[in-house]
Amino acid sequence: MKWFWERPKFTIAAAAIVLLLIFIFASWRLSEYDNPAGGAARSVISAVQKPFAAAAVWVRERVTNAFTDEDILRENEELKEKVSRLQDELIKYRLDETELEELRNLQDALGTDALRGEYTLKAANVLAFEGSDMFNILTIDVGEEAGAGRDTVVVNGDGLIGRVFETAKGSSKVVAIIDENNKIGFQLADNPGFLGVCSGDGDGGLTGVMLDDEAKVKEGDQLITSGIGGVYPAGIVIGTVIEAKHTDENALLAVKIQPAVYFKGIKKVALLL
Amino acid sequence: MRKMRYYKAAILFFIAFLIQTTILGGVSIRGVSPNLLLCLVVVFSFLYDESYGLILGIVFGLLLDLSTQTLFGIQTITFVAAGIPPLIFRRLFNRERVLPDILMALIATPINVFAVWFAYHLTGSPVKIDHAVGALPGLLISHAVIVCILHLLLVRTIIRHKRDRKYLGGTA
Repeated sequence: MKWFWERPKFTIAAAAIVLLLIFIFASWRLSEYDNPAGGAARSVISAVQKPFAAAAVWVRERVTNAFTDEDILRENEELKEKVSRLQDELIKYRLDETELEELRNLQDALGTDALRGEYTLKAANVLAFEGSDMFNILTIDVGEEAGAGRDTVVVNGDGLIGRVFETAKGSSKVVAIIDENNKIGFQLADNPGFLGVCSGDGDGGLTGVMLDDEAKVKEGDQLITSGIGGVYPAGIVIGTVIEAKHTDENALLAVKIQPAVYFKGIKKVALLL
Repeated sequence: MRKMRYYKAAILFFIAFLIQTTILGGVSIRGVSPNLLLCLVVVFSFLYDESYGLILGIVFGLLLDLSTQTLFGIQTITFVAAGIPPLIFRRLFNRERVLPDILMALIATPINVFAVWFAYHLTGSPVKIDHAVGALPGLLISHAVIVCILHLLLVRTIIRHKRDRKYLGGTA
């Protein structure tokens, strides 16, 4: 014991590490339960971040563009136009009533009710974004007071953004679809019979597999949520296929997907409540 | 060495926290998003005799975890771990020089990256170690640059080394 008293800095560091390991374990095992203290602290942090958030988006865009090749920027603009055109086309291919009914039946079979209710949109601002190589988590300025809860779906004008992971008064954490921890059921917009599952590829894009090995998928095909799984309702734009191929003879057809949403430039989002 | 008051250090950490969460978190260049708070913890632990790096690292690490992580405490624990090598090695180096500080950042960066990956891996995340390894070279370079800039901004007075023949004990 004397050894520890003689080394106060080491003792503080060791005690902090032990305490933090307990915090990490508790936050993992008890993630489904509300944490009022954490929620209150997050509300204060969000209030402080709010005035800086808009300016930060402006800086983020400028910095990102400064490090991006001219060709890529031009290609990005072309892709945006293409996405916009494809979205117009998608309106024609949107799920018709029969298909919706089929999906509702499927949801019934799976025991979920994601498609039964009507959604209202609640606008929110992005306050913070953790977009490292391993994780993609956004903090938004709408929380439990507006009705947001775990797995509330978040979208913007371009398509699907993600789902709420944690919520507090005045703020929510959203796991983006480009996060590898987020699995999304999808279908082809122009052929709802072909289903698949995708998640983040760790590099700002999405990667997935088609459940039907005979699925006809080609570059440029638009993908929308299938509604299977109960978290994401059917029909929300996810992105566009940029590559579809078998990685080996026995594997399922793998697809690489360009998300419809440009995550680094997100300012406003909407929650489906 | 000239001392920095706690509130000044806290203001620096607070500004870094805001930049980290609102700007740097979204600026991923070639898949790399530098960790400014980690760099501050390293520089403060190395330069100052007081425990600024550790204590402020714990406080702002917890705020960072609350703000942007799904596991509470994960960034904080890596900040504490990253703050220990500078505490141990600073007696061996001349703190006026920038290279040892950069060396501390090069030690702290893999600790941060692999500890975060390992914790998420243990808790069931599908993120592969390839991503942690892939991000490492870019992070090492960006952290070295940031630490170099911070060091040059914060070192304003001479720190005498024990091997200096004019060393009189204590600090200048």
